[in-house]
Amino acid sequence: MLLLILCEDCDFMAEAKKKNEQEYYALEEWDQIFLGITKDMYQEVCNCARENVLQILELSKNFLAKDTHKSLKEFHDLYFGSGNNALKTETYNDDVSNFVEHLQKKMKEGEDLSNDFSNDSSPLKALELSEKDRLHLSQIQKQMESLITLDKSLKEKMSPILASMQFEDMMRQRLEHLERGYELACNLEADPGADAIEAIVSELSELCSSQTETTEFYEEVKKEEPPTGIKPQGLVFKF
Amino acid sequence: MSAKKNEFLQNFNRFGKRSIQWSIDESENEIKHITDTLKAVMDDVDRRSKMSKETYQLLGNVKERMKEVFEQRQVSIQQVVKELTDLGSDHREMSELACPLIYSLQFQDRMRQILENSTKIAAYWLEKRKVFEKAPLTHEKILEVGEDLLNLTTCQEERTIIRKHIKGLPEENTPTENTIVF
Repeated sequence: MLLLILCEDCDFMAEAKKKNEQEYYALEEWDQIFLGITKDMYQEVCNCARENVLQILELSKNFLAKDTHKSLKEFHDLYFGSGNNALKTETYNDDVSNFVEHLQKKMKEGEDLSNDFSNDSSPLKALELSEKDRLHLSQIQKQMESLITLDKSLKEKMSPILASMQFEDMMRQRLEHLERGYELACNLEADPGADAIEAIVSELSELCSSQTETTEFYEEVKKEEPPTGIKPQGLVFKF
Repeated sequence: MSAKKNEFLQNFNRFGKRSIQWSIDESENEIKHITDTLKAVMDDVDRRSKMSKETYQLLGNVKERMKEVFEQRQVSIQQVVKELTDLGSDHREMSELACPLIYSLQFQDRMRQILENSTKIAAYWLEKRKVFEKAPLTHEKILEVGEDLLNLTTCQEERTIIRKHIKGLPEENTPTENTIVF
């Protein structure tokens, strides 16, 4: 009799365990479906943003000088091409500053800048040679800034193109942060400890790359007063 | 699922919704960027000198229509895309300029739609999580939620993505696009 009760108990336990595993399996499967769909949708959004910029660039062929258009196109291709975010930081070295000064001086003196963009010793060529070192991208960024700072007419013409690129970059960053957040959330165990959640919140908080995003994250997730004075990361053109 | 995890998911999803809303709001500015680029084409002396008077006038009309889209004055992107497509096929000179405008507007529109729908899908995911905590997820159930997800979409690209992740969903029959494909 006792044996029978034990066996029945075993069956009951096994059934309960099976049911429990099935439930977890169901949730995990549903999470992975959602995650896959969300990642692909965000990727599609980024593709649309990139294509949109390319079409604006195509239209700008009608008024930009050939060299300037080429520089913009190359900048866009390099910056958004391979998607290595770690290198998309706002880092300017002395060489860049010197180069900007050189450009500004030449423009003030009314000299032709086309060689600075197109010949073999131009920063663009150097960029192609050391493509892995993406910090050189900031050189081009500075070139653009120097051009739009000094020439009012060019500034007006280039502003919408640069603003579109800036939007593409900022939105891509935001979507990457969301994707990472959903990924971490879906992979959290069913009954996580406070430490596990805190670690995720901390990682996601570090990812925030603008004041607006940080404020929203603190208000909704961290439930703390957000810090101020956060500088935007990534592609920043000073118009 | 623990209350802690549930609370985190709800909070993060609220943050996600705000991030997406920010992207949608900012993406609206893309129409202004396209319009401003068109203005730059029209203002360029060299380019203008190569343009017929008729094309210049037509571009002016297009610019005004795009301004109306941006200012949300009862004109949809689809309407302007349709007008541009007609113009492009009627006027040879216009087609070269109309093409990037059409594509740009379509990409902007698709981007906004997918962003909007992604928040609906995230909300649906959370809602169904509660259900699947209590009941097993059978194949029939997956197909059922797959159908629900398809109904939350407006672009073919989104439906292709859903079909990629949920096998066995019915194929697309008739085009129900909100964007004009040409």
